[in-house]
Amino acid sequence: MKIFSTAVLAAALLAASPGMAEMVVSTDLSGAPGLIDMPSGQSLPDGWLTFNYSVFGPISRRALSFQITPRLSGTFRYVGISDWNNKYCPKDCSGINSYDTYYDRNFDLRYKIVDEGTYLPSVTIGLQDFVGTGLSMAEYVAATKSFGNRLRVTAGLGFGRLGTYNPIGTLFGKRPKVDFGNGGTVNAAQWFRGKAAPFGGVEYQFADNWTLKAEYSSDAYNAESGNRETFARKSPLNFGIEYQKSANIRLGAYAMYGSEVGINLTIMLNPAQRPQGGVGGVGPIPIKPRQPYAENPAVYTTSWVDAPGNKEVLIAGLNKNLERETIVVESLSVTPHSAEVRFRNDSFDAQAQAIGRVARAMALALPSSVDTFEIVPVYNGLAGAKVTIQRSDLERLEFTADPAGNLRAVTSITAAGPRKPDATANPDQYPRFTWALAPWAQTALFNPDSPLQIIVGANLRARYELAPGMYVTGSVTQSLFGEFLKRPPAKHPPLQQVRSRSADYYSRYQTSIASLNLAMYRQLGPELYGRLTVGYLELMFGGVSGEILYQPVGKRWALGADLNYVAQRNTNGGFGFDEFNYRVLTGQVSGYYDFGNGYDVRLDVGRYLAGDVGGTLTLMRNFTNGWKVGAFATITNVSAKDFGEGSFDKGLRLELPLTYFTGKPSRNIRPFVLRPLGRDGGAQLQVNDRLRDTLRGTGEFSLDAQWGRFWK
Amino acid sequence: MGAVLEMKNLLLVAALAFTLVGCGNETERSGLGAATSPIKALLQRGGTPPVLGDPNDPAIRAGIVALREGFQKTGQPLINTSNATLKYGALMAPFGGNNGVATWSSTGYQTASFRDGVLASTRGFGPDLMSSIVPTIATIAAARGTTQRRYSYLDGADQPFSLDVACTLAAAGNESIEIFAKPFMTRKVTETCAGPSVSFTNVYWFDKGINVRQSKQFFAPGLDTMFIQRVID
Repeated sequence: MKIFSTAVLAAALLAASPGMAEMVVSTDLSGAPGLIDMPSGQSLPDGWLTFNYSVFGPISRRALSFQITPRLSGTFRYVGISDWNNKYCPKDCSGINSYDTYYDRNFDLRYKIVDEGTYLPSVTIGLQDFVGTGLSMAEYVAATKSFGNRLRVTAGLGFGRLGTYNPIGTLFGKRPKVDFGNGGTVNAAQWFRGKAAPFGGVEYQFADNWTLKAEYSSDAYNAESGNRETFARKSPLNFGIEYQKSANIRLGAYAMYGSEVGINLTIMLNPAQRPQGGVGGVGPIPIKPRQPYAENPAVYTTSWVDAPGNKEVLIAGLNKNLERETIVVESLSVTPHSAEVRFRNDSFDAQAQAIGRVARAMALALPSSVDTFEIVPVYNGLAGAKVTIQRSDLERLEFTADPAGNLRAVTSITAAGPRKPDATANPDQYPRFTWALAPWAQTALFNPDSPLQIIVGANLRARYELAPGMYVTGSVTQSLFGEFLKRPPAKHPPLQQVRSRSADYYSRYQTSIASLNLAMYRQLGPELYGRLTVGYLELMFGGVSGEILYQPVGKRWALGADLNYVAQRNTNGGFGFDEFNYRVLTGQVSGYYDFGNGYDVRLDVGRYLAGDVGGTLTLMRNFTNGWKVGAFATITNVSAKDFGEGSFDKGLRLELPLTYFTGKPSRNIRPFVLRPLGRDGGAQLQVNDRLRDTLRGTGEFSLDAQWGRFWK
Repeated sequence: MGAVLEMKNLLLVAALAFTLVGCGNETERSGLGAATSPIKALLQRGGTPPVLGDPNDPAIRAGIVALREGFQKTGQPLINTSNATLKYGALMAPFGGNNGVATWSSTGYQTASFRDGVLASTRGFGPDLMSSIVPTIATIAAARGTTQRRYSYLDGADQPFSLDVACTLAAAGNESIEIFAKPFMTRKVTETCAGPSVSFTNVYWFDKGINVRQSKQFFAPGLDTMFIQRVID
């Protein structure tokens, strides 16, 4: 305890040091806000995402952490302990001793119960590795107090793994042994039970961006330094120095447990704020005001309406003025005083910005008598919302103090419905052929024999659009470098082997037809949408996929359903289906709800690819700039035993908008799904351009969230 | 070695994560489609961009004079704009006008809009001035008293935020300036502004009454002021 009293004394001496940048919250080697190997009572700023890569002695950790709410945060961590079987193998290389490096997946949750105040420290309760095998399982309460802008002191009490060195006693009864079975289950019976041990430490920022840390660890590393002798834990004290290289990168080096050297790299991102601030890209055309009627009534003539070919001329004029934005008008419907433009936006992440650009082009290209602009973004022939703006409002409000707020107040957003019967289609738009040849990569994570496998190659994709909402698309991949380790097929699998065979679909130098299908989309009603896709839907399945979605404009909920009859494809990526001879009817009914505060939930209930029946719950946090971070879990009628390790399907889902990284408008979004284990239970069909994705960003709430971009 | 290989693989994954198109005709082009425009054509007719060098060097000076005379022949108004932080410099030509605000554009479609020479908004720069409340040019030209300004922006979440500043105007004497080797006798006025998070000074050089010949005007936090010269009237 001497270290704490020394720290408090130091606090009094060092607290008031003017002119120093404020200390940021840093993470420990496990990815939690903390000291070196011990957690602290702090939390990261709301919404922040951190990635840690740390190594000390034989122990390496990769952690992805997310501050889910201002108080709640979570971590997924992949821990590797090398020299795991040194002491046992070759004598006994069976079971857990078969691994030279033992890998374990951890989930943590932390909740900050007290915010730091003038006198109070911030206090956090944490559950570490609370699901599964429990090798790293621990619970703790930690309190952290800052003294001035240079010094922070942390003290905590740990249980489980964090209660193994110099425990002070048992506070809440005996800790039952973990019966982890197939893993994946919450070990609540152990929480805060058994021996408790104190831990703590200090952080001292001695110069801008430089911090010294010292801590007293309550983790005895019983398995690693005890019976397995992977390293020698000679001291409970750890010391380190950390350098904040930039707002996003922090590096640390440590002397650990009197015998080892450690390093920690932290990448910190604030998804909520694009680092560049406002987006770049080409500036817009200014609003071209019309001559006042009183000055020149002749320009307000409506005689143009009956002129033959006038609509084609107007479409050409609009497209000319939208050329540099790569926005294309799909159809135009005009009356003497109104015009509806349906357009395709392949450029802007924010639909509001694309709508603003179309409005400007309409003000430039349409006759003066047209005063009502109806602007409808469409994808695959489907329209979500229609934005109706008075041209006179555009002219009046462009240079007011709050043009976005003022315009939104007089703009209506309603259901677009199908294209009007009298609409004129852009004669140059269909058929439309696009193609791309691009580098391609596929990863396989968490294989205990090779945790991060990657295949690199090339991808050739093409799309031939015959009409709005009807296209043929195909994608071929060629593997050039790397291959995945494959497992032999199970002899008597309890379930059809679907996703557990995914590695078999990637062989060295393999050419695969990743997809080849015909997709049709129909606007079945003003807010009802349909899709039918036939062919090779994804690398592992082909067949027929149908979907409907009811997504009312201005409502926070939507309902959808999909029904698919598919067969499992051959692993060689060719056209055949005879390798597995497996056919299945699969589909889910899906409900979506947007809580309106950046969080949304999705529930899918139905039949999965292996024929199992159940439901998937997905919780996402959405940021207005396009970032999404969330988690999902699927429970089906497959028992934990039949499912295998992990007990049920679960994982993390991220969507990263390219605009965040480049600062330039782009519709490119990279989805990432991180599954600790890819098994057969709860597996879903992967079909591109599902209805919800197709209509993304076109609803009233999405438009409102980025309405400021209208004038950008 | 395992850790090094893993880091290499991680970097490879990160590098490939956003690899877009090697080649093809997909329209994903970050909103930066190629375009030709009357302005581009005009500026190409006007001659090559200004040559950097010592304006006292007779050869360079002759080149600048020739350039300006080339512009003059087109009869097209032009302004020269630059920003040190963004390492930006471009000529701009009139692009539109609405409600007393004139918008000028570069060939790269960065635009700047002015209300009688007072910068009101920008586009195409990234951290753009989305809208503003600015004093009239007559108020500024009076060179005394105070003004209130509001600058509005979008943040990295596309949400609006504003900066309010209070400014003090002052006369800063007469100054002879040169724009593209053409001399102007001007009256200099400073507008010193401060708010909760920013402070800056706008400078105006008036050559005839309230005609702004040259100015340095604030447009976004964290950036140097925009330098604007009226080259051809």
